Amino acid sequence: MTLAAHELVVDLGSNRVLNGVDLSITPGEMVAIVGPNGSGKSTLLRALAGLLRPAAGGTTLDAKPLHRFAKRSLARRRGLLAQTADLPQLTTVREHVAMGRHAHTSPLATLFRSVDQATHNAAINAAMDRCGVAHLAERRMEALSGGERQRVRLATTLAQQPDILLLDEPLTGLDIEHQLGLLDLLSDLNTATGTTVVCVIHDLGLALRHFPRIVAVHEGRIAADGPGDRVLDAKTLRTVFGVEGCACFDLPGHPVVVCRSHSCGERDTKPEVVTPSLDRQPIPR
Amino acid sequence: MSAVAASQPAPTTNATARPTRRFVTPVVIALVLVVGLALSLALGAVRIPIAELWPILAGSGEGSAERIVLHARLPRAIVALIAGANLAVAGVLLQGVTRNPLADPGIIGVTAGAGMAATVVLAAFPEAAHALPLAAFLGAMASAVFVYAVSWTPGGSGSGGTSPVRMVLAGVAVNAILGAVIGVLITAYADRIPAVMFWTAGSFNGRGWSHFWQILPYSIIGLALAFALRSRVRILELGDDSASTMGISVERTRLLAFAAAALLAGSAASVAGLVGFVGLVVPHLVRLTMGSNRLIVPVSAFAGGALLLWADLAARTALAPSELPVGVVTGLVGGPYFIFLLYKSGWLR
Repeated sequence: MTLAAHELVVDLGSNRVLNGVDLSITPGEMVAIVGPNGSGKSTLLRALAGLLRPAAGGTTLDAKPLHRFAKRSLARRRGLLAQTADLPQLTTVREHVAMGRHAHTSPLATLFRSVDQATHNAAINAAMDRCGVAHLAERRMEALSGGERQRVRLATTLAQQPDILLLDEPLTGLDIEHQLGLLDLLSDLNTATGTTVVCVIHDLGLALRHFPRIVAVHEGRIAADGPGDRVLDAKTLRTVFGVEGCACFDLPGHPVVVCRSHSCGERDTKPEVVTPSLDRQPIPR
Repeated sequence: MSAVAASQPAPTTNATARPTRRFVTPVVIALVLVVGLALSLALGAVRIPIAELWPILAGSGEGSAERIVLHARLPRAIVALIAGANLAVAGVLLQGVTRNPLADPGIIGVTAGAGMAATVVLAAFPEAAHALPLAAFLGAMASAVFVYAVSWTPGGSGSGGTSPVRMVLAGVAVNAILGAVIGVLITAYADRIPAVMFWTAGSFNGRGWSHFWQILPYSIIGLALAFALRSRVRILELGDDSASTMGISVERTRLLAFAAAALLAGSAASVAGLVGFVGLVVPHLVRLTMGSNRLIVPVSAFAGGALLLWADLAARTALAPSELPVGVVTGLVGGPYFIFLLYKSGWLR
């Protein structure tokens, strides 16, 4: 499932938000989309999800335009963890995760109890297990913490069993432990199942730590695309984010992005290869 | 979000209490409904012993008792049941689709449209009173279509659509406009106010089999649509982007739910007048007592039916021989009970 954008142009209202984006994401990749506020990264993700109609160019999945897919068929191939979370009333965790199975039920089966309930239950349980929320199954969504809710929402998307997982700022509102836990979960998912992960993320340090490929978006165009240490150099940080700084690799496996006065600023030697998997936090349960 | 979580007390998250409550609530509603039906057939100007009801219903009754039960009380009770079910299910659909717990059939213009048409008939053409149900239904539909059209925007990214907020705001505006027109008509035809007032507060006085046949097709279509859409409407609660990427046709689901609610509430208004409260509160009553959103559509249908059945029974027996508007009873009895439930569940604490 290669997800691609070809000379993608997207207008929101009278604003041209994306202005000629070319991007190709091959199966099994882990890609972070970074960029300043208003650069168009969320719009790019929503366009890649097939939610927006391009003004020009297009988005394709295995060379077939996204808008030519049936809704359910597309939902079985890509899932989106949207940025805003609406809390449905009086819903248990299990019921919430079960909503992700909609794409796998036939239109008629929604009228009656589906015959392959066992398949659904297996997928729901697997998704809850992977996200570490199985023990919350009968709890209400209202009664959960922000970190737990985010995990349930991810489990709901995983119950969709998509080949490609798109996430729009999934770390918003989470503390550092839950941020790391969620990113580890994504890395594990990527390694274990080969699911493609495309994630809009603000924290450049975490992007470097967890994503082998980083796409920097600036003013509706792709400013840089490649391995994190090459993309987040002093020049990109200056032109895209408007800050003086660099990615610092002094601690192997713990890249941080520092700004302004830090001494490692314009180092001559190329940093070692980033190994995000070192010293990974266990998933808090 | 956290405010919602904080206001949810421990009892509502008690996992062990819920399975029994889920089972008990439908059984209680069914009992209330059956008892209400029996009393509706037995009580009135002429009391008919409950023991005599069965032979009459089985077809072996005779005389005036049979005529009263089969041609006056039974159709009236069934019409009240269906109207209540329609209003409650319309409320479930609209609260889900607009993501607004305060949504009720009034919000999509149905109430105001039906009221407007009925006022025109009652005030300006009193001799055409037999056409009142049809006029009310057409008024409700026209108003609903108008609200939907107003809440539609062309959309910036090429695909147009409605939004829950625009739907609610358009409904409020249409209600205000039509309410003003109704006020003008009532003032202009001041001598005919009583009939209009009685109708706008809701009544099942004189409802018979013809009214039953009139609302049956719309009710069947509306209830079937609501049942088919129930899981999709719940997924819509997650937000448009999430629902869309989960395989839901957001705009089609919203349109179908809107149409179903309009059919249900419009047909109910055509035979019952403007009965408030049922569509707004019954879905919440069911959620509060069941502690869950499961089975919300069928249980709300029965609960709404039972509520209007009992309300009509009270309306015609409480101050006999005069008859109260049924909307007065739903408000008087249902309102305090709803507040009690809110308090008990911790929403008011």
